Amino acid sequence: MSLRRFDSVRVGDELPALSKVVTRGDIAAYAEASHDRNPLHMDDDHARTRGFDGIIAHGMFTMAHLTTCITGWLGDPSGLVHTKVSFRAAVKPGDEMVAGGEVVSVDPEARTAKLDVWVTVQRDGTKEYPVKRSHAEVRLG
Amino acid sequence: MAMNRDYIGREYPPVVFDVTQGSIVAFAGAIGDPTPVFWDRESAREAGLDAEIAPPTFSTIPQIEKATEVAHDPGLGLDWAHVLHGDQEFEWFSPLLADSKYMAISRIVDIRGRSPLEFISIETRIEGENGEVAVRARATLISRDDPT
Repeated sequence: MSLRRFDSVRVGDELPALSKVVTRGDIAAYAEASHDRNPLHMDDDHARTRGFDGIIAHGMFTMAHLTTCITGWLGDPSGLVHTKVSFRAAVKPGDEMVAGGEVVSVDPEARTAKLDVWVTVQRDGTKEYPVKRSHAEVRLG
Repeated sequence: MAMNRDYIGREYPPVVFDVTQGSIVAFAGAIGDPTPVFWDRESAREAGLDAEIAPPTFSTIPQIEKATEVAHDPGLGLDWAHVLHGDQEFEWFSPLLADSKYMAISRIVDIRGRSPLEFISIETRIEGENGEVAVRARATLISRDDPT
């Protein structure tokens, strides 16, 4: 396990996209492991009273998938130093969420890079952004 | 129901939590992250670590616990059943290690907006036993009173 080398990273590099089809079982397992048992993620009837057509995935589940995408590219999870994400659309059971990112700046002094990051889903032929206009900073080797 | 602005700056008592090998594996499994240093001690030792480390977003566990406590503070006026997660920020200073104790301390840093659409930002810092901050997490929750 070693950090991606600073010299191998260029502005404009894209992270390999990471996709996952989300199941109801995934959402239930995340509720259990994270201790986040908000009924919005567990109870279809409750979710419908909130204006959704059924349960939705936790925002943090989507963010975890995004950090897996980032740290997989990075080579070492401890190189991730900062992220700021905005949750802008729901992820529903059956959705295929695709995490991605792009290098937007590099700092040769600090050997760090800043990334734009996102998570998309396809719904009714259009692309939605459950995670939109979000940012990460990583330390490189 | 408008949130009480007097609560901006309020800090909640620390909670101690244990990071265990079992809770790390359960979390890594739930998010589907196969990184070996989350899963076994040998891989962690080969990477120069004393024990398995937790995935970056693992600190959502104490954050949720504290946010739930904040949300149920009767004086605040937030209805937990009407909360959505708007934004999330993490700063990581050192990874959380298995077989270690940490402390989570939460503070309300901002409340803004106007009922029926308000925003509350809660910052949770995770400290190791040496008192050093390992993770700083800031969640912005959206309180949306549905029209009835």
